[in-house]
Amino acid sequence: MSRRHPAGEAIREAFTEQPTLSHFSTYQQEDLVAQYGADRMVRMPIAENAMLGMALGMALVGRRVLFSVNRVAFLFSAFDQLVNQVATWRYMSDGQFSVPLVIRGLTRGGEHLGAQHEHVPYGLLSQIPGLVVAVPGSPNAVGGLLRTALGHPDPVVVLESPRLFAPTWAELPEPEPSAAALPFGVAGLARPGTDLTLVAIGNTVIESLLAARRLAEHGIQARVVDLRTAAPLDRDGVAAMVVPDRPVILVDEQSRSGSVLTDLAYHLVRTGAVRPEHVELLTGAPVPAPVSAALLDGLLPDAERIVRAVIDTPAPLTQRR
Amino acid sequence: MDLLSAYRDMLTIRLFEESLLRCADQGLVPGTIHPYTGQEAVAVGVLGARHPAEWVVSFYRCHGHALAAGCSPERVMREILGRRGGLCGGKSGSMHLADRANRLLGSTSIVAAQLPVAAGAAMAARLDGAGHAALVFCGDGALGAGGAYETLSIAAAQRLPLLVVCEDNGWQDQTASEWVRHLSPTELVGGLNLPHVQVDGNDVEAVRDAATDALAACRAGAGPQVIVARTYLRDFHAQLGEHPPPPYRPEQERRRWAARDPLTVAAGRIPTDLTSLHAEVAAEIDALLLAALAAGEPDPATATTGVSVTADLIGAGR
Ligand SMILES: Cc1ncc(C[n+]2csc(CCOP(=O)(O)OP(=O)(O)O)c2C)c(N)n1
Ligand SMILES: [Mg+2]
Repeated sequence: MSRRHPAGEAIREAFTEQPTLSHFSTYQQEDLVAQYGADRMVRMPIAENAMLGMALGMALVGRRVLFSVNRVAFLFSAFDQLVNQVATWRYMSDGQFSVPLVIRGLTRGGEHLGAQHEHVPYGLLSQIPGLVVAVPGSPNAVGGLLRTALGHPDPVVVLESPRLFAPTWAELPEPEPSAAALPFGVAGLARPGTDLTLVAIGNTVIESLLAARRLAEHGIQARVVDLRTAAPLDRDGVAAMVVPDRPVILVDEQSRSGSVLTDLAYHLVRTGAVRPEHVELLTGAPVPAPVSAALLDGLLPDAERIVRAVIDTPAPLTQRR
Repeated sequence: MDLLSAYRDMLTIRLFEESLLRCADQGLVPGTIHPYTGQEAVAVGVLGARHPAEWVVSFYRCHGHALAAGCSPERVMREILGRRGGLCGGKSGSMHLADRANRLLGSTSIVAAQLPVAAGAAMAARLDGAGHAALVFCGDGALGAGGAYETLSIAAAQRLPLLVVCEDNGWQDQTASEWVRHLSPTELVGGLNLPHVQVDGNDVEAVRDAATDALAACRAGAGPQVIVARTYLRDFHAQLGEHPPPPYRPEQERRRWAARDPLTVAAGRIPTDLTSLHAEVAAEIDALLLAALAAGEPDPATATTGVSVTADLIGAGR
């Protein structure tokens, strides 16, 4: 692999440009420690709650911390600091303080690690006022969203699919032309199309783009919209981006109840961007992640399921007028 | 203790793990595997002193604990390989083994989360009044977590019959423990004024003796006891996918510990020839593996059941 990962580039750039940026993690890359010093690239024990509280303290007095929690599953060990502390400071202090801090965590994607390691909690986290929840759907989007996060005045959680870092990451569909900073709360057009719209986030951006390729072979041109951030959620932007008067399929690997995409579906219908009979939700099953490959079949909305939803149903979505 | 049978148990774990590592290299292990190789004397020594009614709580490096706790090697192997007939139906995989029948009270992949759970089981044991203890294993990295101290301090205040076995292998994944802590596990628990002992974790007899004493103290109402077992991972922290991680520890350190391998230490004290025992255990493990690989996959319909009683009742998992 000759191309360097956009995430690594964004991070080096930020550490070079911002002398007040520190990195907390249980694991530090030797080359980064050598380059920026062990004072800034801090090796930590397995103490996520304390790490996040310290990152908050640093942020409150004018610094910024990148907290790589590794699996976002481990962020749950720091939930008090996240929910009660980090997210509330700006508001509770009436704007006296801000909390520039970035939390990076891996979600789920083909690793079979099981229920305590594989979570995709953008719905859960976007229920916490005060947090930005960024969910990149491609390698360039990781770079772009990290760039914005590392310059942002408020706390940002970046939820990264392990697929975006797998050895084959460079072969993934890449809707973003570059890894330049991406604005928060602005959905992106990941693929143009005229027959229907697929609205996606994180892993489902990959799956929707793969599905769109296959649909094109059937003569169906699917437009794909990448939400990029779950909070803020670009409700009006998406309403303006969907193909007018055509079906919209919202693809969410989280389960349906209380989901971000269910919220969006309501908005699209409410604003008349899509007719109620034209809106479809494809969601994940409400079960913890199992390990055995055989049990994973059909639990998550993948390209196959998206294609089937479009063409194989008795009344194909694209025909409904 | 019967050293020969302890040797056999350690050898079973060793060959079990090595055959799974070969499976991992071939892409046959879903997810990750944290081999117990090198630390076998800790599980075998400690669990040899356990009363079968006592709960034991483990963490992601749990295969050795499970086998030494009496779980069926066949079902454990099937679970790790994601095959039909696994201990937890293919839902837990390598890191989360649980076996009610053998009182294995789960294994968690969240560092230190097992400690308060074990203290809960210890409190229940005290309330039951049968004079039993609860046992918990953790890595040395777990003592970085706040929950470890919360648990130890409550356990001490409540005089809970809790045996904490800290497997101090000097590393926490690819980070050397000394890079991130100011005191060793023995110094840390000593600082809390907890009854504790440091043992050679590669000497199964020493571990067994320490566990026998510590459990006797727990059962007699002396409160929580800590065993710090100094040991080392023979292979590596974990393998995810088909490739072992590149070496991350000093070669000298690895060689030093390899010379003190728990199997070598025990074999040195056994006068009989062990060649036929090796062949016998290897054949057993091969048979388990073949059966597991031939077993087929769990029923996909089970993926969406068992989340909760109510979800099953209304079919909400689908
Ligand atoms: C709360 C939490 N944070 C981080 C991790 C990632 N992690 C898995 S194993 C590990 C190292 C643990 O080392 P130690 O406790 O010494 O046990 P060992 O693996 O050496 O047996 C880390 C950091 C985790 N599983 N849980
Ligand atoms: Mg360790």
